[in-house]
Amino acid sequence: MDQLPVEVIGNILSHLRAAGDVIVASATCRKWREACCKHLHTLSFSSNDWPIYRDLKTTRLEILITQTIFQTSGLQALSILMEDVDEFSASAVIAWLMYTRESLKQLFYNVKTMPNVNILEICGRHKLEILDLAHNSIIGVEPNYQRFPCLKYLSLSYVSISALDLHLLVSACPKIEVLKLVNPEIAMSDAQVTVELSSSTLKRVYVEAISLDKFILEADGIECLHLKDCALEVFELIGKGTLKHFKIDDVSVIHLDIGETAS
Amino acid sequence: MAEKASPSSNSISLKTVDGKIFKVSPAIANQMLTIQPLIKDSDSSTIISLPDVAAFHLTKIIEYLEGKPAAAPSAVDAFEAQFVKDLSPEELKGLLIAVGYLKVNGLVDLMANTVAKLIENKSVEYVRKFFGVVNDFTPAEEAKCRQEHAWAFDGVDED
Repeated sequence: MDQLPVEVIGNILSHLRAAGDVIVASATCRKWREACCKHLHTLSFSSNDWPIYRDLKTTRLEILITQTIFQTSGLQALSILMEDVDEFSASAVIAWLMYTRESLKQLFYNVKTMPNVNILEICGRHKLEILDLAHNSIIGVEPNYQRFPCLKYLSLSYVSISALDLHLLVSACPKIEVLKLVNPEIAMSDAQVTVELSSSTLKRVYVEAISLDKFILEADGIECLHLKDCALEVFELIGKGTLKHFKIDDVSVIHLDIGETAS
Repeated sequence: MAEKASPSSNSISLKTVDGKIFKVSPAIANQMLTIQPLIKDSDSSTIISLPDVAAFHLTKIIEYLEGKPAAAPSAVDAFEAQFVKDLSPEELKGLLIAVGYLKVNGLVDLMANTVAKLIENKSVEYVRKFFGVVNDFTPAEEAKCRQEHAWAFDGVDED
């Protein structure tokens, strides 16, 4: 198997995904170690695929994640999905993101960070195409600096964000096609909670477990809209007649306005 | 296009390491990225030699490139599952080398993923045996690696 190019080995390791499997496989010989260091593009730490993580202390977990990430270079997809961890320290999370952000295209992260880390500020203006974030807070989106020129997929679950920041964030993604919002904690400044999102590139929108006075979605190219378990006073869709699939599950809405102005 | 050659006259000839010659259309050959630069300058008399590819592997590669459905991700998944289903570990490894050498569109990922599934949650010894890899670490280096990453070496299957 000596003819196997080191890039192909890197590709095999990337398809393994799970960090534990990658570490074990890269211990086979020097060539496989080199493949892990130079050609690994996908790495995942998930309590679902490696139950041992659940028995480790958080600080130990932080160290092993740091060690493993720092062995790689040019990582394109990173998943850190831990079910039983209460929170990671900000310094560890900042180190992981700073080390990988230049090449990172996909980030999946679901652990609360203490104190809060501004993931948008660290990962903005780079190559991110998929951002799937849960149990974190987004505070103060600065649209001039935090731009996501390549982002196509944004998913926020149990994320605390203000209505204004959510509006600014969607506007800062000129190529966004898919938006998923699950149980967001919408912070608001005035008494009436209005979320206003506007994007001409959005094609699919999924909103679950949201309670708002007013939700206005301006999306000229929207094709699929799915609302689930929502309580809305007013829901307004401003589009151009492109909607093909509209699904509502367990939604209470008083004024529903699908203002599709056909063009 | 200035010239309207018939498909047979502008087909590309590929010669495998075991001496078989295959004629393929430029559309198929162009998906093998390694030989792409050679195709532009070749005419019907050119034979491109493939030192790392045996006839069996090239047959499978052509079967994949010709048979892969153009649309519908579910159809592609079904086709790919069927394609790898009957391959033995030996055939898989040989095909992996051939596909890695030729850089075949789509097939590189499919082969890497198929092989990855076979070494998931396995021991280092299993991976070495599977790929016929010789351990070139010193005992001290190996012990250090196992100690540093003890968490990863606990709880894997031995075979």
